[in-house]
Amino acid sequence: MSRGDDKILKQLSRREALAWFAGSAAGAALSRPALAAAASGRSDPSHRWGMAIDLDRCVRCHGCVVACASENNIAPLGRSAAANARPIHWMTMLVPDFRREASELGPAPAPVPCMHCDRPECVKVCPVGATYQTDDGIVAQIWDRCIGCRYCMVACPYGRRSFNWTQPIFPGDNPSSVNPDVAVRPAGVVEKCTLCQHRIQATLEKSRLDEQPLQDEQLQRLPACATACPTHAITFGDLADPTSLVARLAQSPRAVRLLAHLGTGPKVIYLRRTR
Amino acid sequence: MADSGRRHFLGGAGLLAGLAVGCRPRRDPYSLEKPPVPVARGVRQGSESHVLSTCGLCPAACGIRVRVVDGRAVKIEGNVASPVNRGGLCARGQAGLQMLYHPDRIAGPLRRVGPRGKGGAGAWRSIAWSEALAELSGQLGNLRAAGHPESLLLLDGEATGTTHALWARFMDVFGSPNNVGHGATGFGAVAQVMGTMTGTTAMPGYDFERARCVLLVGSGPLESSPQWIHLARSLAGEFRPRLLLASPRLPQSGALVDGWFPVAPGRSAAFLLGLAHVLLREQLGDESMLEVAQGFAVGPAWPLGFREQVMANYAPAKVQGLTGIAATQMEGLARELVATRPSVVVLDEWANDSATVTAGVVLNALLSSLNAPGGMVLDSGPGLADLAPADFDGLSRAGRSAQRLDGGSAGRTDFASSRLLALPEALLAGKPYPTEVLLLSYANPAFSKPGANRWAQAIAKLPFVVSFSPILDESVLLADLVLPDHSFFERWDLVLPGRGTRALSLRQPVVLPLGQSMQTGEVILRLAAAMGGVMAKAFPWASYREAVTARLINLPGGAEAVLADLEDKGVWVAAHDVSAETVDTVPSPLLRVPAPQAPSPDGDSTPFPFILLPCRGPGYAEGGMRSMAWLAELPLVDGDPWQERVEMSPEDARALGLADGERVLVASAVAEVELYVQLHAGMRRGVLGIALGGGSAPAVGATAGSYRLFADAADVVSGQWLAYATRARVRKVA
Repeated sequence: MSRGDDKILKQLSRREALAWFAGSAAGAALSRPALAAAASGRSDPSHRWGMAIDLDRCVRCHGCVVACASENNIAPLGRSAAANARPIHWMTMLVPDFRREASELGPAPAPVPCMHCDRPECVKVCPVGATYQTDDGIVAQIWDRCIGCRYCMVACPYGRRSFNWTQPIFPGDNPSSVNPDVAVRPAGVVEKCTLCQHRIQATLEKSRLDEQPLQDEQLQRLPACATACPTHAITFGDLADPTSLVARLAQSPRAVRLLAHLGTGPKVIYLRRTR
Repeated sequence: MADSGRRHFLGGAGLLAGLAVGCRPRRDPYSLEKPPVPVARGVRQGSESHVLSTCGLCPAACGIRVRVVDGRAVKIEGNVASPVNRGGLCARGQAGLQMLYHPDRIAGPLRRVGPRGKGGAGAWRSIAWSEALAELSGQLGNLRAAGHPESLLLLDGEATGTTHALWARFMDVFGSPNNVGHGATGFGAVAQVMGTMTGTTAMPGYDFERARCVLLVGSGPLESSPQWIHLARSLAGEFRPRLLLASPRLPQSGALVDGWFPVAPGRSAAFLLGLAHVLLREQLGDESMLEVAQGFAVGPAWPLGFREQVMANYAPAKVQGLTGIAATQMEGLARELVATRPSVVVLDEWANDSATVTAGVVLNALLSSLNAPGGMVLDSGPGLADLAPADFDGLSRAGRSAQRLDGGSAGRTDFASSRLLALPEALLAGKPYPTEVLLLSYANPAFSKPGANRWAQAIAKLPFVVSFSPILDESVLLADLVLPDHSFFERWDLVLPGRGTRALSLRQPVVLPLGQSMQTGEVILRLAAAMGGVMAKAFPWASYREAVTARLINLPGGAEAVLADLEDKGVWVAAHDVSAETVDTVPSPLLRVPAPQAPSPDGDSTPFPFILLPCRGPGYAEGGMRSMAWLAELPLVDGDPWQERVEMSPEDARALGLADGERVLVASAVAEVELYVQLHAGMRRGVLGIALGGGSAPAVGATAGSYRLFADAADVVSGQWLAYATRARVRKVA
């Protein structure tokens, strides 16, 4: 694709871009599988999941970090392995750096999950299609398909991907606290935040089975990190729905996007008073 | 097509292929949105439920909702109905699963067969509960038979609740005055001084939601104090209070602080008294409440009035050299506190000397913030009935009138009147009389107390040591008999969150007990029954649950209604309006305090130029953080998260030629420990921050973490630990 096309793409909204692809690649026929996908619980392109993190509310309690680890079966390293590897955090907290004044997030610690970019660099470089973007905007990863080349880790400007150097070991080799909804990743694969895709899916399925329209209130605190947050600093929702809380927060004058100048289009939006 | 995305390309190609083979538009199988679920060995889906309970990892008592799948607890979330946390939950609360399923959980009663100080194979013999209870009741019976019930010593780490009450009763009837609270390193002085001043030892609460200005005094605000979750909720509310911090260290949560006063360690009393001076001098404060208080003004019985002392000695210009805060700043702050009322002074963890607590209460009184909306709330909880009075025999009375081992006020065995720090000396010297049996309930002094090594020596000297710990720890390694308690996920109890909330929170078994552990409350009842006589008569309840529910009779609606509410919502909240409380609920005399004398760090500053400051990170759990790997591995630092660190200001580090991550030896007068430097811009110069709660896995002697750096200096009035009274030096490891 030429630079010119790229520019055009940037000007198009995402949905328009999809329609444009549909038109150019396979004609009107593509709309049928898209419908079928929606009916079978596959991701629905009418949603565009995103998250807002209010740094003026966050008390840096790290509750989101452990909530994520517990929900997503992130095994700790343990005392002996810690010298040679780093613990995995899908949701991490930037270590305070008082030299980092210039950053969008300020010098204090800030919770950082995967940004679920609209134009994810990690997806572009994956040689085997293990990481991809769902129609509803999540940057997802198929653990079984990953060959562990770690190109994506190099490509991600946010450093939000982690490599499993070891088999996951739960303390005492006791897997009792493992959440059966989330696969445990084996050694040799890269893993990352899924925006608690399993929770989104369960909520969508429930709303379809109950024949109740999806309410924004069901979504606002849906991912594990948002559920745990004592100050409701983390808000999840559908950015494609302009009435949703997250979409309104994204329009806030306090809204900033991390490394916005890279053009990755992060769907995690930070709220921070400039001071 | 590269930029158009691989997925679209694949999707298109797959579709074309699909059309080609059978006109069935199918994606390739790898594009399944939901990954397959091959989980760890032995884990399967099963029946699923959510159980309401109460977190037990700190005294805040947040309501929790635990997801249980196939009998396994897999996720802890907050209970939205709880007035404490309203559905949120901190890092500690979330990590509780690692405590529940920890490999070091003790499966059942153990009798030592090997030498003390060792664990593992050959050290213990598993015994039945009947044998364990027979052994302990025999030992205790011998003490009574010998006429020396006072030689029984109990360290009780809980400050509220029915197990705490049963222990107090047990010691009273048994006839020992030596029931020592183990909370001295946290909020001990606050409880002690509040008891002296107001007659209630309940911890004060703070009405953050209605405060407009909050001045936090201490070193760990927003990080680990039990009421941080209340404050956090108010900060997220629509009307966020102005948040000011007076502490030598700005914690990670410092981003939310609107003003920071880096008061020199140990000088917070002088700082608060300086503020009080401004209010009194400029007649900005409300003195109506204080005028009636004993000791505030000079009187016949009080030659040294509090007010006169403050006016004479604590002018901001006089104390600015001590506190390191300019007089103009203090005057500005005092006026601001008045201008933004309701404003409240919050006494946090290391505001742990009686002068600071006294000054804080007086300042709140001057700001009309004592038992008022947006202020400090003194409340004795939801009104649980006391246990019915017990009968004593002559031996009980004689034993209880003996002098306490710790030198605390004799005859009183409540939380506040104990002097924990004096105990190691008394045990080592065997004075005023030898101790025969030590009971450790929720207590691991060989790890989590200042001078931890002396504790280990003192415990090793005792003839018979019993631990009720559910998990292996340093003190268990010194015990002769281990009677493991349930973890808080396995037991039934009603918990008092306190701190201004008139609530009861239900704790109920989330999973079946993993081993043969037994709730300590239950053990007390069985022990008393096995001892017979006056002991058995004092504990007439058939079960712990019966003893707890007997205390509900005075609650509105009665026990049945309260229990039904608890079953339904996990919490029961009494109608409670702070504004309806009048000051009359504060028992008089309000003030009974000697002339204010701000303590200061002792020791010589020449060999030891730094002052140590204990810090609690967001994952701190007394002695337990090491057991919860998620907490130990929080992204707080670069590098190996299990290493113990010392925080210092970048300027101090530069002056010493130290860089971030470098290994140093930190030495105090009592110990020398190797730590890693962590630069922290929010640290006052001349102060070293020592993160507590980390350290190696339990092993006697080799460890004891950074606690052992601290001297066990005690506050003169309250007998509680002076957390900032240890001096130290730093040198690079060659």
